[in-house]
Amino acid sequence: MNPFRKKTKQLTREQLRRRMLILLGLAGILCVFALVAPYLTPNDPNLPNAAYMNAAPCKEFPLGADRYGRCVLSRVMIGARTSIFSAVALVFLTFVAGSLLGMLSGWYGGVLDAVIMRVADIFLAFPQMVLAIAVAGVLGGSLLNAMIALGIAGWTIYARLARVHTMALKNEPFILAARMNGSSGLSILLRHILPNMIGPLLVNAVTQIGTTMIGIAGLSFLGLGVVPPNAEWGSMINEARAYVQLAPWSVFVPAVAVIITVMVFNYLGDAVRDYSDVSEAK
Amino acid sequence: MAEKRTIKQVRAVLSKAPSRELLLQLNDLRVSYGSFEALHGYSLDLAPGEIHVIAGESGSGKSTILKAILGLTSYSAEVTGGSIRFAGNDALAMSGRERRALLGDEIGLIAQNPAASFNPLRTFRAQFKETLESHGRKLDEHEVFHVFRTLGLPTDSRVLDSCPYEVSGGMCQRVAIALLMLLRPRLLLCDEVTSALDVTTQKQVADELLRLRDETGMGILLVTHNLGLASYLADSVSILLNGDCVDKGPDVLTSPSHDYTKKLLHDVPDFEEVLRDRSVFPEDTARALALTDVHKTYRVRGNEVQALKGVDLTLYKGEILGVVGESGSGKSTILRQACGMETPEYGDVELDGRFQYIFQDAYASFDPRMTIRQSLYESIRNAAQKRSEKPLRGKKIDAYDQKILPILESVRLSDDLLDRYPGRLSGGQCQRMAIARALIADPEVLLCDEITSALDVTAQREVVELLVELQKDRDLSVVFVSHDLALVHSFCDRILVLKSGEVITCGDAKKVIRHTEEPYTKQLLDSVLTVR
Repeated sequence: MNPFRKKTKQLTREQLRRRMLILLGLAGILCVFALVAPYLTPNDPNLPNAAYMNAAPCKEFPLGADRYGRCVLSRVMIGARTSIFSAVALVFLTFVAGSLLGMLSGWYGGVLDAVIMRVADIFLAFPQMVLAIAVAGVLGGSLLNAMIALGIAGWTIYARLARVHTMALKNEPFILAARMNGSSGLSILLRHILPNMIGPLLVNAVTQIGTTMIGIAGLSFLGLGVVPPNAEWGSMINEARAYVQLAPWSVFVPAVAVIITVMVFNYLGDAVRDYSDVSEAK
Repeated sequence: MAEKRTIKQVRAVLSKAPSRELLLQLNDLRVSYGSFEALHGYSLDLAPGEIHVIAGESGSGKSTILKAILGLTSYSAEVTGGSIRFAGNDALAMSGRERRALLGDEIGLIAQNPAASFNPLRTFRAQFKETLESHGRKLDEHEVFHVFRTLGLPTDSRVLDSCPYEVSGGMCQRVAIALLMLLRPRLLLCDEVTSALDVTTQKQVADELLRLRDETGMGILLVTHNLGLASYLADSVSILLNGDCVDKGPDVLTSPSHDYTKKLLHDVPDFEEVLRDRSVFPEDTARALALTDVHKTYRVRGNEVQALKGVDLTLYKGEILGVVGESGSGKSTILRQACGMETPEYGDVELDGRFQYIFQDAYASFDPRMTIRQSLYESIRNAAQKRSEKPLRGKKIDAYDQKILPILESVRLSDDLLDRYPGRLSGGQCQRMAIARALIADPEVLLCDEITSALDVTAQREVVELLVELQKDRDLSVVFVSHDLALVHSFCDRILVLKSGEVITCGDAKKVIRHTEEPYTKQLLDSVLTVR
């Protein structure tokens, strides 16, 4: 690097913080919207209407109707709850379980570490989506099964990350000082190790929300997730794709919903990471 | 050893040189980091062949001067006033390209951490080649080995074909100097070049710098907090305090004018001063710690490293035992075996009573995400649990303050530091806080691992005086690991000298320092640079 060149202007800490807060706000709006959506739907999302099959957007159906004459807008609104909350819940659960296993593995080492990490390696050996399709296929199609299928390999990233951080922190003088002082292993893990690595783990979790959402939508698209007539963005796209020339709105509306939501959560992940990077560097 | 010449002699040698103008002129130089002014007007005239040393504690603006001369704006430092003239040319008026052209050919830098100034994954040969080629020169092995020979480096391809991580810190530093000898800049900037080195390598590097100056007549600007090194090398010295130059001239260290310089010189440990009456312990005194024939081997990437080869160590109750040796001699390994952090593969360790361990890096020994108060509370809670008391929680936790306050008083710290995070304390304060935390457990044995080596002399003296006082008041037994012979001599009862995992000598401090016949101890003593 040329030491004489002025650095390109970077966002200040305050600007990064503002960006993170704006995206956090957007994600919050999406979540709140998903919560209250059932009370706001203009029509019954599951009620077929033969008179409006593949109807174009009109006064009654603002974003058109699908091949059964169901209101696309209402279904996308109801689907938001399934898509967003199943993704957030799944990330949360895998994050907690994976971090816990990783911490134990990194802290105690030995046989426990070997067992946990070899199991993780087995799951990582398969492409995640292929494994999920296989598992969901065996378990049968339902939202819960789709979540299990994705979660069964999802915890491994958190476990590996938590393990590495724990192992690095384990030999820091302040951890040794706490040990010399008589703190128990559990209290060191919770009081010293967890707070010192929660930042990067959390950042990783937030960036995973978008990916997980696409994973669930993907499984539903393949018919391995949400069962009809319940609405979910992936399964809506799947149902409507045969009629894309007749009724493009019934494909594009849920697709746009997926794109917007995934983008918001991905940008949020990036913003949290950038902000925590500058905070670390002070 | 290179004979130290006076500046007059060197100038006489250099009078043959065509240019006799000043090499570097700093005039009222001011440097700011953002709105914070780190340097409030510093002036210096450096002639070719002159060694000027800038000394002062950390944060006094020493390294800032070097950054300004190098023109490294990426450190977010900005020259806000004054001028820098290099060989008569105004450096601040030059373009970035022109200034960059000066680096290497005209101005060289040896950084504090030699390993960090090389790419760790490439061999020295590749890096020498790259550097020389960027100055339009070819790598000539003959020339390199000639330079290596003068530096006492092996003159076959062994070192040249090694990567930086494969050689020791001292060797790495000498390779860095070798590269500069090949480039032969007119001005050499050294940033704390010896602080990462052992006393013996420190001396070698200092001698090399003297020789380099004598042979090439380069001007050297050296930044250090080691006044012994300053007095060994310097033709003239500046003393910096909070960005101001408080004392400057050739006689600063022999006849200081400013109070701060006097204090600094007073705080430097020397072999004359004794901080505490030494006691002699008869053989049958009760023992606080005993290591018998302890062996320890580490396995590093398939290689076995014997860290301890049958070490015997006895610490009597109420004694301060100093353990000295170069880095890698096994000093810290002994402590780790003693406290049970690691178990030796052979030999016995007996530790009688409660003990506490104090770390070299005080900052790292506190959880960065906890305030000092929270860390101290945790220690009290642990101590209470050991006595099977129920730990206090919630509001009742204030009762713990009653325990903290007297201990803080005994380490002479004020209680308004309690709500700070460790990074907001000074090095000395943080180390004393670490001692306070150790005292909460009411220990009988203190294991101190280089606890003053990261501190400047003033803070070091405070910590040592505190340790001496605490030892007396609480009748502690202390193992004090250090590489500073003068410091250890000033307050330890006995000294144990360690070399590559073996005890070289152990005995009464005075005897070991004054009347030793043992060659390695003598070599260590000869390498100590004291302020003359």
